[in-house]
Amino acid sequence: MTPDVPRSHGEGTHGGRPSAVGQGPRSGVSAAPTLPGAGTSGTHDLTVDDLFAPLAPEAAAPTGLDEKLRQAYFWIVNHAIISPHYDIEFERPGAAGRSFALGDSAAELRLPSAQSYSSFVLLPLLTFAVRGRCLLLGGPGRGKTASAVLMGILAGYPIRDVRRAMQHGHPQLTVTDMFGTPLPKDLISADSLGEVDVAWRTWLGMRVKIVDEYNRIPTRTQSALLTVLADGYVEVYDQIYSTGASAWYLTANDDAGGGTYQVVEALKDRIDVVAHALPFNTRFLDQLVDRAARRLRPEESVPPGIVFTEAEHDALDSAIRALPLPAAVRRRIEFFAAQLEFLERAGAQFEYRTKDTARLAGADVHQIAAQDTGRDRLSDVGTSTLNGLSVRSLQSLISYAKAMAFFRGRPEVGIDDVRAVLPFVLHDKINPDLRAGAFDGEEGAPLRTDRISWLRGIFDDACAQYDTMDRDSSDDVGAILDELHAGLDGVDAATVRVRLARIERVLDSWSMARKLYGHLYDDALALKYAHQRYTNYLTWLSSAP
Amino acid sequence: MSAAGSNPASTNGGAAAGWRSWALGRRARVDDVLARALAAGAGRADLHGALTDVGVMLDGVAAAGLPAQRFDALAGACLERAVARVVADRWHARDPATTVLLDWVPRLAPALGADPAPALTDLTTAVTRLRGTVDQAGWRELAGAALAYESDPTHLRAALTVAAWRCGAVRWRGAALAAAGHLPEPVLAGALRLGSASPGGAASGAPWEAPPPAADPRAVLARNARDPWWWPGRPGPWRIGGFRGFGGPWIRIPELLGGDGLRWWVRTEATPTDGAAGADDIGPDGYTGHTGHTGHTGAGAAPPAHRYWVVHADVHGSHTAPAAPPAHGDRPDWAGSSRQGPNTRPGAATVSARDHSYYLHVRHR
Repeated sequence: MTPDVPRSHGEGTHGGRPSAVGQGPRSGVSAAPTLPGAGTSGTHDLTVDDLFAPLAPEAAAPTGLDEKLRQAYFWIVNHAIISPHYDIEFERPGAAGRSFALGDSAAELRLPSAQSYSSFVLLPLLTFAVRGRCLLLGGPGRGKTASAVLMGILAGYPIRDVRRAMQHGHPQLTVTDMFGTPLPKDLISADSLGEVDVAWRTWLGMRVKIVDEYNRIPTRTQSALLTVLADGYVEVYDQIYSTGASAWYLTANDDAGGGTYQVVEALKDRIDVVAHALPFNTRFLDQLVDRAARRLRPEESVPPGIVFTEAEHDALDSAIRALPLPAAVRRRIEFFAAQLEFLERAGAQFEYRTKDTARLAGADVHQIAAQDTGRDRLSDVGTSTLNGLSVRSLQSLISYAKAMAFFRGRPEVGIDDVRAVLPFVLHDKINPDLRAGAFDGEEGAPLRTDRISWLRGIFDDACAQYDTMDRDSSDDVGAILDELHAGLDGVDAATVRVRLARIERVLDSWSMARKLYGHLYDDALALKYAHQRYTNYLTWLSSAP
Repeated sequence: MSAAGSNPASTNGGAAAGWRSWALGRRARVDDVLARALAAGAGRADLHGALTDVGVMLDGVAAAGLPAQRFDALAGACLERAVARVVADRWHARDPATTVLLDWVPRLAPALGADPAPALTDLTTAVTRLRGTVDQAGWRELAGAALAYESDPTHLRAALTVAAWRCGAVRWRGAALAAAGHLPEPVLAGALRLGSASPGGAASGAPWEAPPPAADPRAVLARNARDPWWWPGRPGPWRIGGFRGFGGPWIRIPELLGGDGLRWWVRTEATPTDGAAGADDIGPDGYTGHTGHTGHTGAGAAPPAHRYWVVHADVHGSHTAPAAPPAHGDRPDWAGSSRQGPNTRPGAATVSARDHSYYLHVRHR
C-alpha cells in the first residue's frame, strides 16, 4: 500500500452514479476531496435526506482546478514517484505539531499538524501551474527526468512525444541542433539571411519543455537557451520563433559546477525554483519490487482525469495570478528582502551603500561587511549573504507563493505559503557568506551545506524581527507612502509642508537613535522618494499662477 | 407497497437456486463483468476471493427463500458492485460497500425491492457516512429486525434512520423522531428494539441478549421527545466524552459552559504542546485567515487559550465536534448562562463536569 492518504472512501465506481472525478476505475486518483472540509460538525438539524444524500465525492460538481492539481500531486506521490517525504511543512494556526530530538546531534524531527508536501514532487507541479522554470537537482537515477516527463504528460502530450521532445545536454550540442536547422536549399539560393527558412524543432512549441543535464551544454548554446528561457523566443539565421508560455524543466546532477560546462550565471538567474531529488527511503523497496513484477511504468498510465488541457492550463495560470497577496504578507517580504542588499560601507552616497556596488567593483563583500562595528551579526540576516534579491527573484517568489496558496485551496497568499516556497526560489539566487558568524558553531555549521534550512532560517529570523518591532501596527513610512499614493490632487501647500516636516521628523528620529539596518535603509530611501515627490509638487504649486 | 407480516417468497414465485446456478445461467453477463474488471487491472485472485464471499452471502439469501426473480436482480447488482470494489482495490472487511454487500444484504434482501440498486446505494451511503460514529453491528441488527417482513424499500430510509439514532447517531435524533411517526408499528418496534407485538418476535434480538423491554414504541418516543434521557430499562447515570487516549474527544479536562437540553457548549484548555492530538478544533482545513509569521514551532501565531466543543447527546449516544470560538463572550446564545446542569427541559437530566474527570456526567434529577 502506498504511504499517502487522500484515498477514495466513497462509491463512485458502481451503482450507475457518475464517478467523482471522471477517473478510470483503477486510476488511483483520489475520489475523496484532497483537502476535506469540516464535515457535518455544524449545528443545523439533520434530516433523513441528509443521511442518504450522496457523499461529497459523488456529489462533486466539475472538479476545481486546485483540486485537480492536488489530485495530480497525490497521484504522483502515491503511484509514480516514491517520495514519502514531507519537507514542505505546514502547521495549523495555534496548533504546531510535535517535535522530537533524535541522536547525539538532537536532530529535530517535526510532525506537522497540517497537510504537508514533498518538495521534489510539489515544486515541479507548481512550475507546471505557473509555467515557470524549474531546476531538478540530484544524483543519477533519482527520478529527475521521470518527474519532468510526468509534467509533460500532465500537459496532455503522449509519452512518446514527451520523450522525443526532451533535449539531452551534451558537449557537442549546437544552437541549430537544439532549436532548428536552416534549410540547405535556402542556404545556397538565399540572397539574404531573411530568406533562409529554418526548420524549427517541434519541442519549441510544446507547453512543457525539458532539458536534461543542462550543465553539459556548451556555453554558446547555453546563451541561446537563455534567450528562450527569459524572453520566450529563439533566433536562428535572422528567423525568430516565439515559443509562448511554457513550463521549463532543467535537470542537473550537480549544482556546484560538476557538469561539463560551467552554467552561465544569467541562465541560473532565469531559473525560478530549484528542487532537490530526495534520497530513496529503503522502507519502500517493496513498491519497487511490485512495479518490477508488474512491469508497471507510471508515466505510461497517467489517468486522463489529471491531464490539463491547454485551456485548463491557461485558466490555472490566470487563477493563480489573480490570487491576492495581502499587504501584511507583502510587508514581511519587503522587510526580509530589504535586509539582504544593504552594505553600509560599500559606498559613500546613500544610494550606493549596497552589496551590488561592492560586487560590481570586484570588492570582497565580506571584508566590507566586517568593517561595520556594533551591528548584531547574528540577528542581522543581511550579514550572512553576499548579494541581495533581484527583481526577477522577487517576481518568482510571489508567483510561486501564489501557486502554493492556490494549491492549498487558500483564498489569498499567507505568510506560510511564502515561507514554504522561499528557500527553493532563492536557492541559487542568494549566495551565502560562508565566513559569516551565522555559519560558525555547532548550530551554524550544518547550514553551510543545507541551503534550504539556512534560507528558511533567515526568513524566520526576519519575520521574528518584524514581529518584535510590531511593524504591522507601527509603520510611519507605510503611512507616509499611503498618504502620498492616495494622490496629490487638491492637496494644498500648507498640507504638503506638514507632510514634508513629518518625513524630516521621522528621519531625524532615526539619525538620533538608531543603527542603520537594511530595512531602515530601504525606508530611508522611500522617504527620500516621498520627500522629492512633495518637493516637486510644492514647487509646481508655488509656480502656478 | 409494504407487505409487513407476509412472506415475500410466497408472493413472488419460487425460491432461487443459489449463486452457482445463477452464475452459470448468466454466464455471458458474468464473463463480461469479469473481463472488464481484468482489463481495468483487477487481480484474478482478488476477484476470486470477492466472488467467493459474495457467493456465500447470496447462497444464504437464496436459502432464506428469496424469489428467483428478485434473486436475479440482487445477484447482478451485488456482482457488479463487488467487482467494482475489487477494481478500485477497495474490497476488504472495513470497506463500507463491502460491509453492505456481505453483512447488510443478507438481513435486508427482501426489503431491497425488485430493483435493489437504489436501496443498495442508500445503504452504502448511510453506512459510509455513519461509520465510526454508531454501533454498526447493532444498527445492522435493528435494521434487519425492523425490515424483516418488508418486501419493498418503502420504509427503508426511515427505518434505517430510526435504527441509526437508536445506535448512537444522536445528530439524527430529530430526523428519527419525525420519521418514526410514518413507520408501521412492527417496523418501528424492530428499529427501536422495543418488545412490541412484532410478528415472529422480530425485535427480540440475539438469544444471548436480554429481552427488549415491553413498551409501546409510540409512547416511548413521545416521552423521550420530552426527556431525551429517558428510555425504558435505561435508568442511567451516563458519561459523555472521555480522554482521547481511551477513545474520547479530549486531551484536557472539559469545562461545561452551557447547553439547551440537547446540546452542550464545552471548552478545554489549549497549549501549543498539545500537538496534532489537540489540534482538531481548527477543522481539517485549518485556515483562519491568519497571516502572521509561522516559525518552526508555530511561534508568532498566538495560540488560543481554549478550544471549544459542541456536544450533542441523549440517552442513545453522543457526538462531540470542535467549534469555532464564539464571536462574543465565551459561549453562543443558545448555550444560556447556567454553568450547573444547563437544561431547559422539565423532568430531564442534569449534566455536569467535574474537576478531575474527562467526562461530562449525566444523571436524572
